[in-house]
Amino acid sequence: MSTGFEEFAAAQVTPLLRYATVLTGDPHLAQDVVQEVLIRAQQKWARIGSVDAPAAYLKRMVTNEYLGWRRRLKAHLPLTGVDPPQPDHTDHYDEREAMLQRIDRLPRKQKAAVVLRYYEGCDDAEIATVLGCAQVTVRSHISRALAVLRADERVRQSL
Amino acid sequence: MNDTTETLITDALRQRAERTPPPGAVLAALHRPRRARKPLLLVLAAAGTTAAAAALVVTTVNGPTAGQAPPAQQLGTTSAPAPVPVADVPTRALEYRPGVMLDGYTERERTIGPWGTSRIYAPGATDSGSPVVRFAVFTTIAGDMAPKVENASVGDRTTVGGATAAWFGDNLYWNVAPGRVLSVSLEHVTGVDVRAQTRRIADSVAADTTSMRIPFSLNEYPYVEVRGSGAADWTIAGTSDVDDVRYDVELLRIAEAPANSTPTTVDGKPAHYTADGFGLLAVQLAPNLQVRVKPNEFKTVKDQPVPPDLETEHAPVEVLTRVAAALSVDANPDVAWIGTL
Repeated sequence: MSTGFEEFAAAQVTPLLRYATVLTGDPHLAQDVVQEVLIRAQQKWARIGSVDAPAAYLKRMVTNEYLGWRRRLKAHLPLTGVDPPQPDHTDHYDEREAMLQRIDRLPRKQKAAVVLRYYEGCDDAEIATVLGCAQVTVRSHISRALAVLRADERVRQSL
Repeated sequence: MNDTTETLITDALRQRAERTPPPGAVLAALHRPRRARKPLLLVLAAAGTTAAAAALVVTTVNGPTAGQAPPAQQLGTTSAPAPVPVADVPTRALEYRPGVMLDGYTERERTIGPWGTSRIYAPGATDSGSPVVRFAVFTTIAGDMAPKVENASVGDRTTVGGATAAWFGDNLYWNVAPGRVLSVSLEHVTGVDVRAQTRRIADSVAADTTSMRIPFSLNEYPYVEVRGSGAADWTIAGTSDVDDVRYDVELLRIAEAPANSTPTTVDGKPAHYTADGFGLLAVQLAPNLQVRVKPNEFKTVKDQPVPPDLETEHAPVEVLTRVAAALSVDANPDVAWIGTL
């Protein structure tokens, strides 16, 4: 690896893996996605390394990879289940698991927008750049996703 | 704003982030030497060829496909006819197979992926939501999976054929050998004791010396899906990377040109190109065999700023012609296993 890329990869691999894990819900698929993205970035490092925010560009590549993995995801085993349940020291574990299941049922772009907003803390402009869409589209994605998640939450609470 | 819902979303996503795998495997992959890629020649298949061995498949593929698993250590039996080897067509060793299956289930789908292989058995179509039995052999990611099987909670631990195994939900995983993790999953199967049937199938798994011919050329990160209801009814799709851009590749049993396309040729074979979408090139390899290539990624949305030279709005015919010419296609795809046990 070139020194510049090596340092970049070492610094960014964990944040990218974390983002990909949250996005895909599958640690192994996250590894696949991040590995492929980093390898492509390595090959194009002369150009990617010179853009203003290579880390943001890599995040966009990870997102595109996720959005383009419909076929792979379907064929992929439900590896989420491979991860042993994490020990939970609060009373909210089931609540969070239920929310994750609802998030996973969102359309992919809505889900990506939700992850970028509520996990990565991105604003509309940053999400628009990552998703490659207009800010108004981002607001639409978030609004629709929240409407669904809130409705699901109300249904769940009424049970 | 519903702060409770938004807080719950954030908490839930943070909880998921705790499952982030360690970065070692990814960083190690970046250091692996890349297999030298040589240009491959497009398959020139004789029209109406009836035997795979007779197909003219000309490639310059050398050596095994990257990531190809070593052959199984034991001899096994298989109900599916062994594929006829074709010189220079890459193959993938399947290594293991189930010895028993649910009544009425036959093999309908195989996937060769960067993580290993999977075989899907079903009584009918394998569309989403259909009942299927999924059997997988994990290779490249086995190093990450095996410890999770090993360290499963005590109540989930078991063994399969003496190997360490664990239940994750109703999916059974076991560390069959160093570098190999197997799994059996029943999906959308009703009316049976799922765990009992999963266990029965897992206990029957044996070594399989069969290899599968890979339908079209792949590289370091192969991905191809073959599915169908019989040897005469199949679809093959996957991806292939050329010059670091990923392309969707489909093998189709059709002769129709894509809509809004114009005629061209690729290595003397009739072809059609359309600039619609991100570009698509269809090359007719035989009267009823067509390969289609189109870009899979680096798609841009017109209203967004794009870093210079990093994106492609659509692939021109010259680019897709070069991609098609870089493919090696098995003109008689290995599909005889479809519908067998």
